[in-house]
Amino acid sequence: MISRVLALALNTFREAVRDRVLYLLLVVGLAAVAFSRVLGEISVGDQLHVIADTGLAAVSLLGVMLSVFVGTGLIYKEIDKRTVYTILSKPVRRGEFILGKYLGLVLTAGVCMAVLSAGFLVYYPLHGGAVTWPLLAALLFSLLEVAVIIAVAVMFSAASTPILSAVLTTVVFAAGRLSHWIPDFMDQLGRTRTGGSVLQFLLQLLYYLTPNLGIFDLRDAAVNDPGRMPAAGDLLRIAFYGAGYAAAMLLGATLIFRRRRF
Amino acid sequence: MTAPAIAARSLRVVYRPGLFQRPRVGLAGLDLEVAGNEVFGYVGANGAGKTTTIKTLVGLIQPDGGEAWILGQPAADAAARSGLGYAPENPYFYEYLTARETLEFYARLFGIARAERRARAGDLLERVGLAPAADRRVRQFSKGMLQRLGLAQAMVNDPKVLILDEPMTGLDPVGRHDVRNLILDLKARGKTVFFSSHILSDVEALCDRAAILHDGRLVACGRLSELLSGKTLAVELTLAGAGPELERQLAALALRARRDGAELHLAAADEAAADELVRRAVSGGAAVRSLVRTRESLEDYFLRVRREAGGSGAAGGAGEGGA
Repeated sequence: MISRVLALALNTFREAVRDRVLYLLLVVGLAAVAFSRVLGEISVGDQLHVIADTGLAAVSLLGVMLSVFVGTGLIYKEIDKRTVYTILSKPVRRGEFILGKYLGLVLTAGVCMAVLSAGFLVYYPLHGGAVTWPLLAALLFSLLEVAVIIAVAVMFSAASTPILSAVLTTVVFAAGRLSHWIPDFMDQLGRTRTGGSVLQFLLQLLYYLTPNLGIFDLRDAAVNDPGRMPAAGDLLRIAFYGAGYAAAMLLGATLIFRRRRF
Repeated sequence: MTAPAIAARSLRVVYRPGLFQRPRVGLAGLDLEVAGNEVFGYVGANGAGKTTTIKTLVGLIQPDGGEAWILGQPAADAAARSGLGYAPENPYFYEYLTARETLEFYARLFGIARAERRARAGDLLERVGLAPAADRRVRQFSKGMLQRLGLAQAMVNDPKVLILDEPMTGLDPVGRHDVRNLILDLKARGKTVFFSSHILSDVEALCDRAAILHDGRLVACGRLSELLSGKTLAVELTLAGAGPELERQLAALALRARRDGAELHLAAADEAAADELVRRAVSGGAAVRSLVRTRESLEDYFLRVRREAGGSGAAGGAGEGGA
């Protein structure tokens, strides 16, 4: 099983790195890192903070864009281009196919984000910044967040067209980034209205269904207040949460994909 | 007892295209058995269910009823595909990979070791005539080259059973000749080859047995020598030097008559009628240039069986494109 999943993952990675779109995204990301100095000069406040903020945001954005643009077509493209015929007629289980494609895109996103992170980690000290473990943790957790979004994109890709998948993945991403505010919002709502409203139920549903992506965002703490960084145990819990959510999405993708006829 | 290479019992596939569209029957209780080391031809009109059968056998479609086995293992199990090779009609590959990389990738899915993968990819590319294009990206390939690569990937695991969906599609006469030889070579190596084709002369030339599918069910299956009656359909005569009066007399006795310059072509219903035409032609001063007996071909048989089964034009069963 492992060798088949690995073969599919490496093949997905090889396909992706030969696509020029990937390099375009990388160039845009590197340009954003370089442009952060200009932003720092024209901004009010600490120039270093702006460079760090922009650099980390560029790395995160590159990963999210890859997830949405490539991830949402990952499975659909295989079906549409009929490459799936010659793969699923080999001793490959459908779950292995989903997992292989997923890991291949995570590897692609990881390598792209690593290249951009390397650019940032060289650029930042040149302007007097120090590479600290909170910065490295923020970069690593950006990748974990992207791994969760890719799993969501793959799940939608197994069920619908790339455009619909892209819309749904973007909605889940946006909701996931905002979901950690839902409990506070529900508290306020509970104080002003009588409980059990439809809105509260929907908010609760949204809270439990969407990934809590806010917990992966360590950028603010890493740049502005390293003292607010979660402890090692909390970071591990966040990583487990991400892995669990991604696994649930991939299981959903497999269940959908197993029912499909080609 | 050895399990058949391919078997299907009461295989049923129904397509449900949408909530408000009527379900279409792709396969209506198909029974099929292909023995080891057979070359088996699978014939049917567009929409008869050939591709649906093949996709069910290779695990791309789960049937609504019945069962299928490959070498005794349920076709739905991934393990059953270890000994199977499948070439789809109009195969598609990853465009950014070269032909060699493509074959090595497929070999890897079978857990074949790196050195062996390399060797096999090289051998197969040689065998299907793609060695000169081995390191060219697949996106630059013509339709015929893709078809050849499709056959090569089907053989990457040295399978005991090969299922080929319209393997001659998109090939030029040289390509068709090569594929015919390849199928015969596979049989000589002890493999079982199951292939669908619209080109009935290929089926007739290559197959030990053939089956005819109509609206999702088999309407004929057996050895070609048993299926084709061998009876004379017509005797074709070509005469030279027949004058207008003789032509008029002979045409009245023949099934068909057609003049082509100095030659007169006649068709007699059977040997006795042909004898009579020859006798009169010679006594009337004409010379016999050729005399050919036409037996029932697979095409004649196919059309007859379809007529008897109630089919006429394109069948109304499963759509081959989506099926």
